[in-house]
Amino acid sequence: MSEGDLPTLALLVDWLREVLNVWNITAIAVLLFFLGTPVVLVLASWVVASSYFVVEFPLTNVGIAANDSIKNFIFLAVPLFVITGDFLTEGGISRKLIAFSRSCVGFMHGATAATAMFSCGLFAAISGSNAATAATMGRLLGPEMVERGVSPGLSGAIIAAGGTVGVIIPPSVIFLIYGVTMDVPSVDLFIGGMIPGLLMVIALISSAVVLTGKVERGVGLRNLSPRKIASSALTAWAGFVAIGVIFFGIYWGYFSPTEAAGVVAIYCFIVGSVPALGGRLRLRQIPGIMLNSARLAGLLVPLVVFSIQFQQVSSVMGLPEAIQNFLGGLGESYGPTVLIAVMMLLILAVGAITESVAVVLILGPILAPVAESIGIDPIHWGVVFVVGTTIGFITPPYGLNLFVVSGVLRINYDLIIRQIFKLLIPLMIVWIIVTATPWLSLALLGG
Amino acid sequence: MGQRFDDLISWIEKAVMLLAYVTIILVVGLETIRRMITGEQAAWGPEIAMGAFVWLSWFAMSSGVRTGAHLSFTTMRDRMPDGVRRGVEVFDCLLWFVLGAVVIVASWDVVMLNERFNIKIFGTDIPIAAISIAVPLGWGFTMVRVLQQLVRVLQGKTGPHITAEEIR
Repeated sequence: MSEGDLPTLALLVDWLREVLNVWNITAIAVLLFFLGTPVVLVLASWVVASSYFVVEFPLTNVGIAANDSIKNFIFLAVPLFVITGDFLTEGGISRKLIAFSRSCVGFMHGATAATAMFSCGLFAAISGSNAATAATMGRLLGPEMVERGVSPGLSGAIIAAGGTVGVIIPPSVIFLIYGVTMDVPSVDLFIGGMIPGLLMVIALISSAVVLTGKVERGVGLRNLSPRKIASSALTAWAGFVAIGVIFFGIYWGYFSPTEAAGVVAIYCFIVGSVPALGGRLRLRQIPGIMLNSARLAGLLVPLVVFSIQFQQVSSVMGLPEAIQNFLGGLGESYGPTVLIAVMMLLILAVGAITESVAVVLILGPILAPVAESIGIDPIHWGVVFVVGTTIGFITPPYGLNLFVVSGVLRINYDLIIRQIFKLLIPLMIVWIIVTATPWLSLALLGG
Repeated sequence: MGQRFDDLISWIEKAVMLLAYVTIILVVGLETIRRMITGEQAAWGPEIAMGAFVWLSWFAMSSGVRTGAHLSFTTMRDRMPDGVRRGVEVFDCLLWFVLGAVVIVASWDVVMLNERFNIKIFGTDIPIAAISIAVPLGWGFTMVRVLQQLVRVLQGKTGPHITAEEIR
């Protein structure tokens, strides 16, 4: 670049500073999103452009945050819970949990779909990720559902919806991230999520029965054998031990959620690789499994980093206060019910266009003080918030679980979208019930 | 030549990701088990595990660019005429380059600062710069991946599409 070019560049920057305001930048970001630019690139571009052209925030912050914001012990739970799920599946433990689920709900109409939903609940109690839950169940039960006559689109939609319980039934990476962002005890959120998670599983099993019962008729209660249930539970002992280690280890304070994830990852690796214990994992498979799991970190962590910076830049702009004031005014004019309904719509709308971690990091700090100002318990609101984001996981246009299932089952994304509304309705009903009944989140905490 | 270079970059990315992942599992899992048995735990454990996570994350991001795994809403792009789609893909690459330049320069400053003050990881002789350098390095690899992607697009090849395995 010659010296003569420098003033031109400075003029260009000055012109951009004049032309670009936060609304223009946001409009361009939204346009890019709909044109298919990766979400992380959209978010990062918004952060850098707003920092430089609008608030004149030092760009050094981008470099600092890229390192410091992810050096949080809690975040380590993400790769650890994901690899736990993979060891569980590759080691053959997931199949045993599925056999147990089948022995419990296999008598119903729509048995395969019901088994898938029951299995999602069990898998969720070990792996804290909804994408991992949907991917695993999609791989293990999706093809069978299609073979039984359930349409591919509906099979995909059911599996995607089942994955949502992955972050509600503890452990949950989203509860962990919400806890660390909002300074709420993650363990309390885990406990608070248990009853809502079970309600979601019940709603999903019921939906599976209603939606697929006609194509897969049940054999009736005569096929429900307590002996079969006990025997399959014994066969699946390794999975139940993992659930016990996580739950009691965290609940009794032996270790933190991240440490629990580390211990269970090692446990699942050992149990999954010892043939004498029924393990099917081979050493040569390990690098491939780990690389697959690692890729999730590569997708989520940049989103975390730029979401945190989004939060910082928007705070400098006064955006959170503006939204909070607007919501506060809404609450004063129309009452708390309307305010809660608007906040729920906001969670769903943002959840439908981006990833859960980003929703928690961006929207969590804005909405939690508003919820607290109208007397909602922080744990209850945390549960309501995360249930909403997980429903966003399967809400078009952008639902991560829909992409996951579409890939695993090789079903066209549009076919799944057409069916997903049938599963969204029961989940929305559960969400409304959970919101309206704080007892569901607080009962196990003695609240 | 191009294939060999791609293989080399992939090999480095995979090696870093595997090493970092194994470190996280062993340090977090085994140290917790050791604490439960002996009541002792290494003071450096959490810092090393978090450092490994920084390495894992940014190299995994680079690998994600190679496989086209970064999450995006592709419904409209999939329906675009070839020329328009290619134009949008080129624009994405340019955005990556601008962003990469900002992050690499800014994070390099952090590495230099750590180096100048000779800050060490608590309980070890390992400089903290050994962790912070993962950011510019990971983004450097990402830029190589974006360049490869740009060349592919300009050659008229379709960009890689997301698959379930990559998402997971």
